Amino acid sequence: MRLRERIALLGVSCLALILSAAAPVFAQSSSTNYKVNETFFGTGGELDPSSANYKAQQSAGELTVGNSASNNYQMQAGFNTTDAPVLEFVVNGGTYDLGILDPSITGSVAVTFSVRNYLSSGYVVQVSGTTPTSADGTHSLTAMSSLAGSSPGTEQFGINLAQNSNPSIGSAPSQYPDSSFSFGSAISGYDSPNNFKYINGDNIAFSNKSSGQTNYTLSVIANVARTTPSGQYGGQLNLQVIPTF
Amino acid sequence: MTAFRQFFKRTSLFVVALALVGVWIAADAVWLTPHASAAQLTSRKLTLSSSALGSVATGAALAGTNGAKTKHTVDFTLGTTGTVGSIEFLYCTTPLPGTTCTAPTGMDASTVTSIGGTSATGWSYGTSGNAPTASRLRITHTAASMSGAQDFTFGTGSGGATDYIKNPTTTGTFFIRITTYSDTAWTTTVDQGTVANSTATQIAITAKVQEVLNFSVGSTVTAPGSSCTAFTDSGAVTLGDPTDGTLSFSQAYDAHSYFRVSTNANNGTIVYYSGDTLKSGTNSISAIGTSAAASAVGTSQFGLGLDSSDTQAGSGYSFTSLTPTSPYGAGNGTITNAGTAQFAFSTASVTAPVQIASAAGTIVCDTGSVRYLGNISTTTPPGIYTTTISYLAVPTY
Repeated sequence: MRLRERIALLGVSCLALILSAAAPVFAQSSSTNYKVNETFFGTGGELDPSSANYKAQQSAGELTVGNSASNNYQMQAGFNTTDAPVLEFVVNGGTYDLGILDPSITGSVAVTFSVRNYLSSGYVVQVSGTTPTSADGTHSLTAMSSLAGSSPGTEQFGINLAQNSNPSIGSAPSQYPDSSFSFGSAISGYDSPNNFKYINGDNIAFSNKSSGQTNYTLSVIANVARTTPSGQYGGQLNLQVIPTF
Repeated sequence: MTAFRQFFKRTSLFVVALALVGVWIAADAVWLTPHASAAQLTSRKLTLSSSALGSVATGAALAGTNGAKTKHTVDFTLGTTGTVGSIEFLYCTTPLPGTTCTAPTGMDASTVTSIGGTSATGWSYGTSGNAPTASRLRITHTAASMSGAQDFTFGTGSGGATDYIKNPTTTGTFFIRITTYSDTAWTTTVDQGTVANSTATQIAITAKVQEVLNFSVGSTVTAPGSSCTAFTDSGAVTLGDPTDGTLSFSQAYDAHSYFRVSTNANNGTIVYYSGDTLKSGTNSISAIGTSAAASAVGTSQFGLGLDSSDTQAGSGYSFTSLTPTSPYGAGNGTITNAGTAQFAFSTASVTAPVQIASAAGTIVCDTGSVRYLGNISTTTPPGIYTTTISYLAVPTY
């Protein structure tokens, strides 16, 4: 075989290798109008090179990375994307004490949680549970069924996901690593500083597309009236993230 | 001939190369075919009645705080319009169909008995080897063409105490791999898709509300305002003629004092009085008695009653939660001889306080107006007659 022919054969073989390397591996970017399987344009990369001592994912010459979206589409760009959907939901739960409630002052606590959701069409975060109830079960703090400010002396129980000054508590949702990758936000009604509401089963946060990590601070306030029965109060809030794929 | 051989050699090389490419593409097609054989379910989501851990049984079944007894609602849209005879829902710790499924720790779906949701009609759980297990639900119906959005709820609670799903007992994400089949034996795959949800730590909110009782007595009315302002004066009351403070056997005299109460005692409050009749040394004006009685001018009488007419433009009598106790609730009206106002008084209250009003629950801010009646007879010895009446509020928390 002549050198030129060998080179030609080698070239064709390399072409075949390149073509096979660009095969779809079934991570989907989709909307109601289209779907694109995971495809790579770039110099190269490798998803799972490994030995007994290391494991890596690598890429080179990527033209673009990250999430891009409009009303009609979204895509995950980059070689090191995965076809496995991801949901990470971390609630820093536990016991939060509002302290001794008095008609002249608002009790408040802040609870943090975070959501990361990959290969979804978005998510909502839902809150449920009863307002704090007296130990004998005869009285529950009044839930704020409509958006209102904190009013000491009026029995109230409410939450929001905003940075408040009255009382001084909470912070607005923050995106990690930044807003190029993460898109979660508070839902209207729970995003207004110094205004609170609590309806059992309400959706309080959302992202309308696949999102990196969004850190939320759930501010919880309570006020009591002069007639709020005395005693120990307790209640549990349940947060649930519901992604749609 | 040489040219022909060279052409043949070159052509053979290209054929080999092309064959190589063909083999490669065919191999790819073979490897990838299993992924492409099923269409994807779209608009998929899983909603839990609670994200609490399966070890948490706080609250009623299906409540947002009860992870031990939950219902799981699965929504999806079929990717293929066609015959569907059975569906499998497989709970796993990883999402991808076709890969090894590890059941979420502690979860138990084996106790569900009913299927709810808008798509439930006609569907039932598999039996025998296809019956619900801890991490797998298989449902079937008469095979029929289906399309569009589907909605199934597992563990509706309608089947009794066991018709629930127990969530995983460890915090974290879990998946349900959904597969539709064209037959009723979970054999021939049509569509696939995965949904996810996550258990989460509960947020327990605690608080304390202290016992509160605001109770004051006075003789000068002041507006309660929004904070139920207490009376602060001495509470001294003078019965008799306004000019010289004397009683008369020809005319009845009255005076008022007030008490104001606010409390968060949710099990009720009782207001008592305690004291003796008017006395001057060893002489006394007779207590009117423990039964309601009207003023009798010219007769030695001392009594009291709650005067509901003494509202003082909102600053006086105002019972919202309190209720007068008989025979002390009819102090309003006239005090002329045999007038309409009724009074009573028990000297035994000195040692055993007597109830004059009570409330069953909390009291926002109630004000009581106590009307005192003083009558003397022609034989009542002269002197300065005094007494001290104490009022007590006893809340029950």
